[in-house]
Amino acid sequence: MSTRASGPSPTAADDEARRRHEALTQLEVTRSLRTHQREWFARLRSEVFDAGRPYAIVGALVPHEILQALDLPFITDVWYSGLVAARKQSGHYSDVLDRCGYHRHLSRYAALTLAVLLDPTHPDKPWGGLPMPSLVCTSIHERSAQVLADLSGAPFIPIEQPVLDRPVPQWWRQSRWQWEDLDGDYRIDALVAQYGDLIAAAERVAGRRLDLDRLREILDRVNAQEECFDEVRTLIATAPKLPARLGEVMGQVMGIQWHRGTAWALDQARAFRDEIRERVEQAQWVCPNERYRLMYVGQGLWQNLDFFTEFEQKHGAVFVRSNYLSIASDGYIRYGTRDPIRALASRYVTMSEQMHIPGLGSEWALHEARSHRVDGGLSIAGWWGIRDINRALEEAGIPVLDFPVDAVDGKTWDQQRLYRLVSDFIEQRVAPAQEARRAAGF
Amino acid sequence: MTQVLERCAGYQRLRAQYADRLGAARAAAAAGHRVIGRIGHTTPLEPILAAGCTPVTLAADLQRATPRADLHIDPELPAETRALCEAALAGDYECLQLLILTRPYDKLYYFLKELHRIGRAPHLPPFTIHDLMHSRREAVRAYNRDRFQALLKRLGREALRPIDHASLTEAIGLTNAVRGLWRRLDAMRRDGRIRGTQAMQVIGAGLVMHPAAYAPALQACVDTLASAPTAQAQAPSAARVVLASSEPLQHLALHDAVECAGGFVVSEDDPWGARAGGDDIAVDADPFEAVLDKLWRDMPSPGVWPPAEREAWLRTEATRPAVDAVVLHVPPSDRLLGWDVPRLSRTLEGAGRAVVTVHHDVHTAEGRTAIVRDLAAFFDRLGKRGSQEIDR
Repeated sequence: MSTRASGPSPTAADDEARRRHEALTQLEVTRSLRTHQREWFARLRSEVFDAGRPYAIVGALVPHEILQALDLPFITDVWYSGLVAARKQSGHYSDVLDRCGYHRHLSRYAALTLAVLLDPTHPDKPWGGLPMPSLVCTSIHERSAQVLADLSGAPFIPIEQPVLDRPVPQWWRQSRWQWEDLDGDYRIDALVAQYGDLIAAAERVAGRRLDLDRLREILDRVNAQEECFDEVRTLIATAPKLPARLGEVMGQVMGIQWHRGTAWALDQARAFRDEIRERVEQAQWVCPNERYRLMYVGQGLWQNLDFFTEFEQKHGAVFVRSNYLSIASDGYIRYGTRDPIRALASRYVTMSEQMHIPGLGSEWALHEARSHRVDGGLSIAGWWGIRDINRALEEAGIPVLDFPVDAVDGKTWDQQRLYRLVSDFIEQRVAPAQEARRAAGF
Repeated sequence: MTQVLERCAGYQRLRAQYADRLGAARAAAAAGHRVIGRIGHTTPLEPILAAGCTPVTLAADLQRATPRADLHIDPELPAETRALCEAALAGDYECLQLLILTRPYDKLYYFLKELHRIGRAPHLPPFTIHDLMHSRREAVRAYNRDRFQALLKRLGREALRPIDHASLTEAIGLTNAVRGLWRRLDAMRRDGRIRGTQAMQVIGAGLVMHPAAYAPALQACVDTLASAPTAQAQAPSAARVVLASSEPLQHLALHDAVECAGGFVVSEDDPWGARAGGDDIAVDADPFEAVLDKLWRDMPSPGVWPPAEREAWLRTEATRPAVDAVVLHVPPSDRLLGWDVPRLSRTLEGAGRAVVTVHHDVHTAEGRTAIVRDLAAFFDRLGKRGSQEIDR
């Protein structure tokens, strides 16, 4: 089976974008990550696609660690959807969903995976398409997953996150050790009970029993990996200037998180940290003329991560912070893994929501902005809770630009207009705000 | 049939309460009663009544401008969330002793918590959330029981009398009496004795009034309707439809559009309508267990899982002899029902029922016009044209 059986040949613009991206690549770990992804996929193809080994399709907020401990291969629906989008095929597969009766306003974020399965004869699919899964497990709100399970005849295990009835705005100060108090024992109990259903179903598919000692080792490796990310964040926040482009940092973080809990992921995270540390020690800066430090509020501009390098030369503006690196350390680390299922339940019981929930998202963004010495933020719409975060940043004197594009849909891109928008934002809002803060002694 | 009901004083009272949904709550609070508001239907009325308090279900006014809420709430979130937040910030709920939100309104809860924390919601009453998980599986049973106990404890702080077996049994008696009348009303709707828009007002008033005050007026309506002619006598060719929408039917706009197109709504899969009551709460069991069981096992919600249980009521209603077709309303705000529509349509059509899906927003003039047009064409294809015959 081919990874790209056929399809449109790359355009000159695609080639140019690839050359430019390659030229902007500064980290050696970026290359080693790509190599590993290729090897990982080759193994998946041979074991699952060719040899027919059972596998699971799961949501991003499902405890992948359990599947890993059972040696059950899995694919995350939103990551596969991301591959569809990266190949600029989201339009085609969105049409497939339309034709099957799923209207346009339904979220396509995770459902492009379903669309690929609904269109078995299309010759050009990421990884050559997917075989039918033997297990589906996602958030209960991801209704397309039920359709996918029905289509494949696989059992569907829904996960219901309990409501966060007692929000703690500065949640990251408690999340590593005091998670039982932070998350509430009754909320953790609720997920532990549901994980029982997942474990039972996954054990049936994998044909083996879950080994809790092995699961604990995996959790401990995830903690160690996230500690490396934490060190990277501290290096970026405290170094005199930015040591690595945010696009590369984000790609590295997501690539490692995809394999979190494996020995490779921990080694790669260590190599990533070491390379960033070395760059700081050798004063290797992305933009020696750095003047303004910006942050992503909410999601990253995945469709064009290289866009902002254009502002380095003209304005001395760099992006220093995104949710992806910071949530890795603040959201994932759970120390005290004596009961690994419980620690896992705490990890996921508010996972992702803490970046959205008013108060939690805004306090965290403010804390991060201050610790990273941020001068301005860029906010991409389509993320619930972002308006409250933007308000909090603005009220703290940190200007935020509402960037009017979709994070993944390339059809919303207008290079000239967006370039002007960001330039004006830096000149008219970020620069005066920085000056005012400095005048006030901050 | 409508003239008969229009002359009924009970109906006039219920219609007025439906139009002014906070009226009864304000009057009760002004008279010194403790009023507990609920947003969503998965907070049970019975413990509130057992506590000696007056329950009121809050509805969003979707036509209202939301300038305060817009400052904080993202445009991606439902208009209902913004409208409820606006009302809370404007002080509409100040008369409440306690406001209880439910799981489908978790994002509204988070916004209210934050606005309260930063001091921008001075008119908010005390509020909490009752998080009942809607999937029907053993894995969530203990959590739901725990949350129900937490709710009882919280209500206990506002109570004028203990929430115990005696008071809860008495409250169950009150609400079961209303359920019995609602079931009679449902049967009359299937006979075509009352239009959907009228029935929605009669039922909806019961969600904003104390059942002791509501039951006599409802009884009067049901008695009056017993002597009304049936649709078969009046409009034999009207298309009799069951309605399901992805938006809460806390308004009359969709029913009105269906009726304008020539349809006759005999029931709707919505707790503001035909699913307000459901089965009685068991009276031969521990009342606390009975309330929790009813809450979990017989509560309409898009969050119910597995899908067969979520759709069981609709499938049963749609295949009744008194029904010609199913109208599925899946407007642009929909994020859930649309995933069920292809399978649901196949199932219902397989059972011999015609199904139509309408996608427009009924709250805009253009959307309403499009819905009326699409439905009229659908009813024509069914050979049903009754709008001219039904007295509107």
